[in-house]
Amino acid sequence: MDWAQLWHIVSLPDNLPIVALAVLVPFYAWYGLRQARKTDQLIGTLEANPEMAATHHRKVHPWQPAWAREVQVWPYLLRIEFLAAVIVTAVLLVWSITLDAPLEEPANPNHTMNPSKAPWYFVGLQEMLVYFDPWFAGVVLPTLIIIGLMAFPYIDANPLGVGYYTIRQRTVALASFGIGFLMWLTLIFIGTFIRGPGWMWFSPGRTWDHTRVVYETNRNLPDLFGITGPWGKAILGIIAVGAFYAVAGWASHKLVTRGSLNQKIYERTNLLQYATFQFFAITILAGLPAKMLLRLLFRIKYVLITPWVNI
Amino acid sequence: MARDVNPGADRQSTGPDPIVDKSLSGPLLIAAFVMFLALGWALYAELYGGRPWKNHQRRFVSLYTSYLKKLRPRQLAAEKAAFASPELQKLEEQLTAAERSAGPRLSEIDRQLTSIRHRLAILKEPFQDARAKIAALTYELEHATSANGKRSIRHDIEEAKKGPFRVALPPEDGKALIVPASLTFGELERRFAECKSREAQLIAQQNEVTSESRELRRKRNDYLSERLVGLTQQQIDGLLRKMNEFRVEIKQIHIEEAGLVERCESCHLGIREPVTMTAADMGGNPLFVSHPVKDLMAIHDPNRFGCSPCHNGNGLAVSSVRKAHGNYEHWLWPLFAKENTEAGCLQCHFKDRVLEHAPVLTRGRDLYELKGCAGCHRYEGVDRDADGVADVRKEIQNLQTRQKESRLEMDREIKNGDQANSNEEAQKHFARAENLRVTVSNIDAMIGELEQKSKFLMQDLKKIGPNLKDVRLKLRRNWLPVWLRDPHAFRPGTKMPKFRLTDDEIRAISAFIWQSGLDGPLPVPQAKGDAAKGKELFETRGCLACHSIGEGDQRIGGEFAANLSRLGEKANYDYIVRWVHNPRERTRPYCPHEKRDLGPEDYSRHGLPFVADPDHSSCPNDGSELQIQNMTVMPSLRLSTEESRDIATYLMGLKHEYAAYPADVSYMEDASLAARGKQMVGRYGCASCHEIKTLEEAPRIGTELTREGSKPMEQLDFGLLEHKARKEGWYSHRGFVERKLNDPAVYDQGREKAPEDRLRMPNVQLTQADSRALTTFLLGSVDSPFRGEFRAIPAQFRYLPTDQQRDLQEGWWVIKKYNCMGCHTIQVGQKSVLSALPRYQDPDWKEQLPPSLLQEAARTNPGWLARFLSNPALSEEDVHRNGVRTYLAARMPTFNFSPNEVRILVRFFEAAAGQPNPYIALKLEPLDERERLMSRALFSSQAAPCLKCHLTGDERHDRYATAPNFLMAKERLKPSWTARWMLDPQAISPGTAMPSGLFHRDGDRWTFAGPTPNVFKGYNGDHVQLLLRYMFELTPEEQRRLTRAVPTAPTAATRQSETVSSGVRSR
Amino acid sequence: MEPDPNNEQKAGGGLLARAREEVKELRQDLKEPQKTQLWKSVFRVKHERTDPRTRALGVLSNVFLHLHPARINRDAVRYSYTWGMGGITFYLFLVLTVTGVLLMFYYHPTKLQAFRDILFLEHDVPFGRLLRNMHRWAAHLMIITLWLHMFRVVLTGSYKRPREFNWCVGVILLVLTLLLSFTGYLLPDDQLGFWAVTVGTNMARATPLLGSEGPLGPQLGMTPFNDVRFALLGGSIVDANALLRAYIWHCIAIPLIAAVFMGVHFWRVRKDGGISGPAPVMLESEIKPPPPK
Repeated sequence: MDWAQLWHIVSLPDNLPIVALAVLVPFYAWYGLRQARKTDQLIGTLEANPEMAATHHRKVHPWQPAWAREVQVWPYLLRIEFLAAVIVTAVLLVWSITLDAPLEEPANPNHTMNPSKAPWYFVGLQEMLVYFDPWFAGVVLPTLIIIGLMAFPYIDANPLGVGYYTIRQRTVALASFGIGFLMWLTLIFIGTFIRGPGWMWFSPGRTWDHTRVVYETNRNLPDLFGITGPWGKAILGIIAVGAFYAVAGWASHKLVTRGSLNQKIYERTNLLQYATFQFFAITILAGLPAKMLLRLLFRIKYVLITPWVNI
Repeated sequence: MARDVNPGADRQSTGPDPIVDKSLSGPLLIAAFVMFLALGWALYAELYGGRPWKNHQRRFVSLYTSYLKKLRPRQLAAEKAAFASPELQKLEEQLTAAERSAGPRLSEIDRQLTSIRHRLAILKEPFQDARAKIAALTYELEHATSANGKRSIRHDIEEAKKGPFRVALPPEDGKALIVPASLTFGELERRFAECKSREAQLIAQQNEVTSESRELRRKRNDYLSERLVGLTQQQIDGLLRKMNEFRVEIKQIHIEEAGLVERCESCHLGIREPVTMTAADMGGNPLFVSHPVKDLMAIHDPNRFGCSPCHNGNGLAVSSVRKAHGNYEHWLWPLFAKENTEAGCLQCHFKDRVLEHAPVLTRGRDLYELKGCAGCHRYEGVDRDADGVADVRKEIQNLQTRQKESRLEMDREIKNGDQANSNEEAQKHFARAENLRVTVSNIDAMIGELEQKSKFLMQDLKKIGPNLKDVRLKLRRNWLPVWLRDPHAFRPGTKMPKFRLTDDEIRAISAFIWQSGLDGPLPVPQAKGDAAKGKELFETRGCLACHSIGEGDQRIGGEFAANLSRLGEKANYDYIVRWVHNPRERTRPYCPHEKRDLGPEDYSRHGLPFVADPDHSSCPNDGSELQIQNMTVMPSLRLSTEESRDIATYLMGLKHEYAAYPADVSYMEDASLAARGKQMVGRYGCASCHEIKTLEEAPRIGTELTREGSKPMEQLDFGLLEHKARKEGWYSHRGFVERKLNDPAVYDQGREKAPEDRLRMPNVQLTQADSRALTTFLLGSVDSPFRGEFRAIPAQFRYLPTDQQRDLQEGWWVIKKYNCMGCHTIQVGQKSVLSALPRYQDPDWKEQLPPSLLQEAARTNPGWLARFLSNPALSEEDVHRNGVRTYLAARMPTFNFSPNEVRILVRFFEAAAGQPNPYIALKLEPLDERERLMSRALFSSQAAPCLKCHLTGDERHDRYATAPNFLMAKERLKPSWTARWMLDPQAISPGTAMPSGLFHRDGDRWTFAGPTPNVFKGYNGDHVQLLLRYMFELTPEEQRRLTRAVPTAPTAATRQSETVSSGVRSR
Repeated sequence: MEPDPNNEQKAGGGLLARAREEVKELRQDLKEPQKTQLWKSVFRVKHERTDPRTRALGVLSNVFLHLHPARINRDAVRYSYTWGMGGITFYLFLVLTVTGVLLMFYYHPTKLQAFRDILFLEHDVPFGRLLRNMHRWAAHLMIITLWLHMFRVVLTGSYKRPREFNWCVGVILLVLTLLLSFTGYLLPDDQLGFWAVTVGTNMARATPLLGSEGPLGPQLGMTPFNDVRFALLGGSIVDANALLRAYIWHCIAIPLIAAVFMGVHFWRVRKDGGISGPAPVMLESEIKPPPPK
């Protein structure tokens, strides 16, 4: 266990944000979900007895009729905003005094850094390069992610859960986004803390050794079946991918339609919405992890092999 | 929507509203407080945290002031002493007198000046005004178009010139009252001019009047400055004042053209102070010392060069020591460690072989050559001869191909010409053919040139180690494996490094070496010699300048060549005799073209005798230039065969009787082993220092080191030690090199490698100091021209020696190559190896030391010097002696330099002595009859018995002589120097036997100090010149005539005359 | 303040009395400055501590504050709901703009000077290091807060009708922010930025159709000298042109675009009915039949 090494990576000024993420994301997740649970309890009780539902002000927050339903932005909001600004400024100042922005040797094209990493927020993509060809990991995938994010609201046909924290009313939406977000963060963590020189896998606390050598033969799916012909490969790949889509699609359908509420929502979604949802769910939420596991556990590089593109 | 009720209303009915009634003041207050703290912190960090130099500067001021105050009284006392001296008093008096006498005149001049200036002041304003106005009008005039326009303007100008200008001028004496005059422009101008010229006159007078006193004052100051060491008390006061007005601020040097900003002096405040300060002086604070090498600073003015170009570090940073010294991960140019400082010099002086201010660095360079590093590791410009030979050969090949082509072309043209169907066409073709023919013959000439050049180069081409083709002739077989196991065990401090060889590797290598050796022609069998004589010879002829003898603390002699104390255990007597007699004698000539040694058979095939010498140096088979001599720097001492035998006998006697050697080494004849051995030899690069059969042209096996100092860290292979190095803080070029030198295998630690992949570098066994020197050299070996886009060493900083400077550096290569400094003093303050030997501590032997060569070229005629260098005996037949100083036991060897090297050496000495090049001897007037009489008389007079010490060529006399023969003077010496020498030899070479003060000044001429022969009556010429001219036309007959007159030296001197080391001057 | 009759009477009372009067008035003004003309000209409305109307006006009549509504859902001011991340992100953007502009005064986007300028910033420029650090850390922080903001929006379902479009704008802002940060990475022209950008832009090589190494790229005649990467770097390698492009994108182009989208974003927040909640919960039993498509 090389603590010095571990500390070295973690304490790199540019990696601090990731450390911060590791704290902030869980905290806010907990913070949000705690409120969600409260709300869900409230929903539960209200669902249980309609007459209470009829009279109740339907918020977890305390409420008395005498209280104003709305308050003045000035001062009640502004003061909080001001407070936030002050705190952020203070944090920023302290951070900037105590930690210097990195500055390395002058750029030298003839001398490659090893490892040379993208900025931390893109390291996820760089990590994807291990599992996919650049054209996919570097270009198609990010585009998909962006489109997916933009499509998100249009796919979500759930009329409930606007403007309050809740889980039980929005399991599918939350789950799908949650998984995506988590994956993104995980990739960043791996790319930053696990990947050392030569983009090799260094489990935490292992010394990053430039001279390290590892034996890794990457196989392709067809090789397992001893298929060599280009057609064979292509067909097998298509079949495999198709099969995966079928299975994953079926599974996700089952998951998505579990429970009466989800049923209702499912009924409200039109075909286009549903298809889009499935596409993204399978490709990104299921596909990426699957491919990663194939690669990490079974050292399988390509599944679908065609003369032009390999996946 | 509900109205916003006043929170004060019906409190009792409802609880307090958590939104409206909650106050945020608390958090706001705290947050604000925190933020102001942060702001304060930021301020502090900016003003103090990042500016440690502020405190340093305050401390410096106090320390320095107190130190100066301590210094002041001392200097004051010194000054007092100086002022007290009568000379100064006299000067002072003269000065005051001069000033007094000049006084009245001066005051008069001053008075006039003031009045004139007053007048000028008055005239100036109206004059300039008028002039401006007229100028303006003139411009108008020039640009006016219409004729009458011009006319009117002209008129205006006239008007303007008329004025009248009313000026109230005080008269010259200023006594009479002021009369306002009204003048025209012309008059105005005239007066103005008058005043001006008058003013000039007066100032001139002033100068002239004060000149004397100024002269005196200068004298006085000079007097003081040469009497006073250190600062005068005024200067000290000046410094103290400076300290009072000291401003705490960043002290910065900015060099525009180099893009340098150097703030080192913000903390190192003492560096450029005129006072010399040690840490002790500054309260034990090394931060404030003055620069240790003031004259270096004088050459490299920080205002031009800054600091970091020499010392590295981050000149810009002042926030912390770490940052400023650049000792952090991402700074590529960390400060050179104290012991490697001189590495900085090399960054610009990479063309210089010897840097007098950088002994460590120079030592590093020496080691790089001496230890044969260059054999395996290429370093730009070190292995000059080898590189030269290679280039020339390539060139020759190219030329030959070109020649071939043009020949073909020529034939084609001729053919075309013959077949041409029109006359002029044919002409064209023939003309072209003619051209080509010329080209071809030109190329022939060029090739001839190059052949010559390569011949010279091959003559100068040397190897570090001995020629292994001679092993069979030279060595005992069973000694070889013992040597290979650990050379340093057999011969501590030898150049041969220790390789990490397994037993069978050793067997294989020795087998190969042994079998690859030539087995004939064997050296002629020699009779035994006289060991005692041999010892004496060995110790006096000068062998010890390079070789050392004796073991442990008995060791004496030079480190340049081998220690011979155990020669007897390894060598073959006959061979050693041959070697001592002439080391360059080669068993068989080597043909670089066929890549093999030639034997008699090659010659007989062409019906040639088997001789290879400078005149028969081309290959009988293909005519290419042969290597006809052993590639050793060891020169010939022109010993007679007997002497050689004596020395060899003596050397063969040196051995450890108890030394044991493996009895059975029959494996050395095993051919299969040899095959393996050859691989080894190839892998370990033995051929880079030794000449080995079939491996003559083996390439270098090591990495080039020319840019080692600026290699990216990642390219230095620390093996498994990288992380250790990082932790222990030696993950740096320095750490890498030092450890590698001390243990070349260090970076193989813990690595699983096949034997053939292991690091091959042998252990050179350097001393601590040497390894530091070598490290320094390598650290300085950086990519000077390009150091990253943003920190390039500016081109104008790099030092490219030219003219005589270049001659010097060129020369140094040769001088170091042949270890001239073993016998001679060439650099000021340098001691030759011989002079350190116990024998030469004896006063009688002091004069036996070879001459110092400082100013050599000032004394000798370059033409002669060249002749002497190529044949120090200065004669073809009688060679077993020195050419000039036959009385010296030590002998100037014959190095058989190529003409190239001779030229380089002569130019070196010329440059060293600052002699103009080329040298034109000045013509001396021939003596007339009377002068000849006089000079002869003086020359042979009892008072000046020149011939008593100087050689005359007469056997009997010369035994006791200790100075060169006059006959040589004419062509050897430069008259100007000779004259100076006669006047004051002590001044030129202290401790010389030549007496000083032979002449004394008499008006504008020098006259003989002793009683002058009476022929001199009435002669008023310069005696030195007279003797000089006599000397320069001295003839053998004349000398013989004189010698008869001169009494032979007292018999007392016959004491040691029998020993070879005769020639000790009697006293 | 309108002249009152007694002034006229006092006017007769001689100069001294007049002066005393003036001084008195001045004191009066200092006592309650909000009565002075100057004050009124700046803050157009009278501002009573408790009067809701003036408070509302205070917000509405202020160019900076008027993005806010006058009144707001009483529970929306709770930190627990919004986490304030959107606001903080915007605030960081402002910080970055200010520090960035200051940095621009000391920086030349040229191969020869860029790195040296950073050194000068670090060692020479007053507060230079602080500036640079703040700029960099604020940039990192902004990305974090941005992600958290997004996270919150999802958790509270605030992207749903009628706010879908604003969510898209948000996503665009996310992309722009990342690009801003990325383009800034190269500017110090050190190994870190250089190789990060090299790695980043090398991916562009593989763009399908548009990249010299992407699928079908070569077939469409894409070479390293005409593909999308070349367009990004203004060359086939990361060099002077790349530096200049990065600089211009970073300092001018992207900030402008981002500013526009921010405007839209905030505007839409208001137009889409202010921030989404905390809203009263809706029950499964109350789901209406799907709206007619």
